[in-house]
Amino acid sequence: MSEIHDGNRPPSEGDACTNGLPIELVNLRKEYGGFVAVDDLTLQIKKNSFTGLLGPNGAGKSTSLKILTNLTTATGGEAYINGCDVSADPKGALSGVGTVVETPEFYLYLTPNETFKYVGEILGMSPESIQSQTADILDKVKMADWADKRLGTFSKGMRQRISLGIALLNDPTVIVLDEPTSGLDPRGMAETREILKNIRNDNNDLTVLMSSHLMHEVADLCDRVALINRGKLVMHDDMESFVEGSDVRTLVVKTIEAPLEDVVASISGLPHVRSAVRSGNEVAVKVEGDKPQAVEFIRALAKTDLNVYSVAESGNALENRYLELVAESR
Amino acid sequence: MSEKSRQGIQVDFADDIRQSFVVMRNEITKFMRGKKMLIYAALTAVLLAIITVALVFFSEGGLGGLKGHQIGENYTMLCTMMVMIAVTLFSSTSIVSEFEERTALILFTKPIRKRSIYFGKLLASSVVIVGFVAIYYLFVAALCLVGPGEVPVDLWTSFAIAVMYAFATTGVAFLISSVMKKSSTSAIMTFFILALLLDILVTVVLLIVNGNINENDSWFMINSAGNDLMRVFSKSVDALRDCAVLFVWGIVSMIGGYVLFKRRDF
Repeated sequence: MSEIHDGNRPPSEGDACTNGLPIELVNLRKEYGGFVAVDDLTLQIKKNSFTGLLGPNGAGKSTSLKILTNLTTATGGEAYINGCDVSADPKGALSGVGTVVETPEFYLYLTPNETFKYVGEILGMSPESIQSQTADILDKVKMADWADKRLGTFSKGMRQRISLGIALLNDPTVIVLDEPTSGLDPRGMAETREILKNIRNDNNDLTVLMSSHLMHEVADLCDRVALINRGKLVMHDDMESFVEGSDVRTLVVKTIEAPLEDVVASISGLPHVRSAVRSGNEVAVKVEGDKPQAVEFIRALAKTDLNVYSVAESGNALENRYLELVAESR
Repeated sequence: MSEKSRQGIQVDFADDIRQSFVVMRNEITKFMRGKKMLIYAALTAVLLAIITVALVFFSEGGLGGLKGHQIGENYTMLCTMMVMIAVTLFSSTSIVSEFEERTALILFTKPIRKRSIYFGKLLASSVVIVGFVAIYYLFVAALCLVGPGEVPVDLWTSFAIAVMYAFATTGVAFLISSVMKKSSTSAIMTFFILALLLDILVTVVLLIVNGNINENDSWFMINSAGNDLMRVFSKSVDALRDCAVLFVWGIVSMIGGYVLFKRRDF
């Protein structure tokens, strides 16, 4: 496991919240009857990182995030936000935190303005602050025209944007997202991703932990990745190291003509090739080893008679690495 | 404890109360914008109208021919039922709705303690229900002034018992709401338990223990104490004991409801 422990320990019981790591899970455990959903999970999220939390269904991602956001109580261990124990002091821990967990529903009899006002009052914001923040945020999430319409009339994508807006209301330093684009149509997903990118780019003092099943979304947004499986942490690293850690890389070779079986066979015979699979005008080649081995393969490929016009790393590098790690951790 | 710590706790507690009032306002907004308040107000108005018409047109001498306690007795005979209906409408789904409608995902993930949420919802239900009870009794008091020309003291005793009955039944409703998964089930169970089950259980227990059913033996039961709000006009009742019994019912069930709510996972 490549994540380095930075030496910060959570505050001992009875201490006030300290400015510890933005998010820290320490030996977190959750059991439902005989089933262990989270199994002594320890995870430290770096400050100002945008971390993708990956894992197969039932890995414990949502359960961990629900414990972190005070929706569920842990069976054992602790969850800390900015050094505050979420279970012991949820009010302190969740101050300065924005959350979008699953697909939240709203009080349908309220409008976005009224919802922001309600949440803002709970957060202890002044009326002027609520008003100005609401206007800014509704603009940012492109919902300004709907500010005074009842939420009961909104589509799922619109509600998700409002959820993101509410998460930003108190200028949080930590944001926790549980599959923020789940259930949205492609346009809704694209819009949400755009908002998240703007949030990431506009804020220097912001740590985000986002769980997702969509590899391209995680690859697009995140600079760090944590993979959990069966309730345990499998790997936690920056994106490049996470992907590079594989001993196999997938290169997509494109030729002018559709490659015939003998062409695929000849690629399979090149140095360091584990497998070559044809798909239309492309051949997906799994090359064993690191960058030097990939270079050797490409040089060997160039010496063949194939009319190759493109050789590129597969866009699914993260997915491939994820599948590899999940298979290993079974 | 240092002075600074004590001040910190006081500020924190004051903020918890503040947040409870925010939750309370939102709940009352929900009641007002939903149809529940309108339905209940219409129900209450119809009931008052029927009783008033009956007394004016079918009693000898109309309202003027009746004494204050007779008016009180007539108008309070369905009070416990009206309170049960109010509690079913305004209290029985308060907690369960946050889980069923998934609004807990917005509210519970904010820096607010569960006790503030619980207390705020309790306040909202209590304010609305007691408000309706107060309007009801003020109407009766006004009629007493119009008719016999005096408001009997027993009317205010009856009002006190009615308020405590509302307190007790709200507590029971919150206890049920804290464990149920669906709002509809919670509402049905609340009404069933308050209107039928508790009385049936007491009757069975008394039969087993005493071999007979004596009304005085069930003084500790919520409905027995509550029904004294009507009986106060025709006989002597121990109103203080009734209020104490109802207070205990309310407090115990509210605390029980809070404990279950606090432990409930989403």
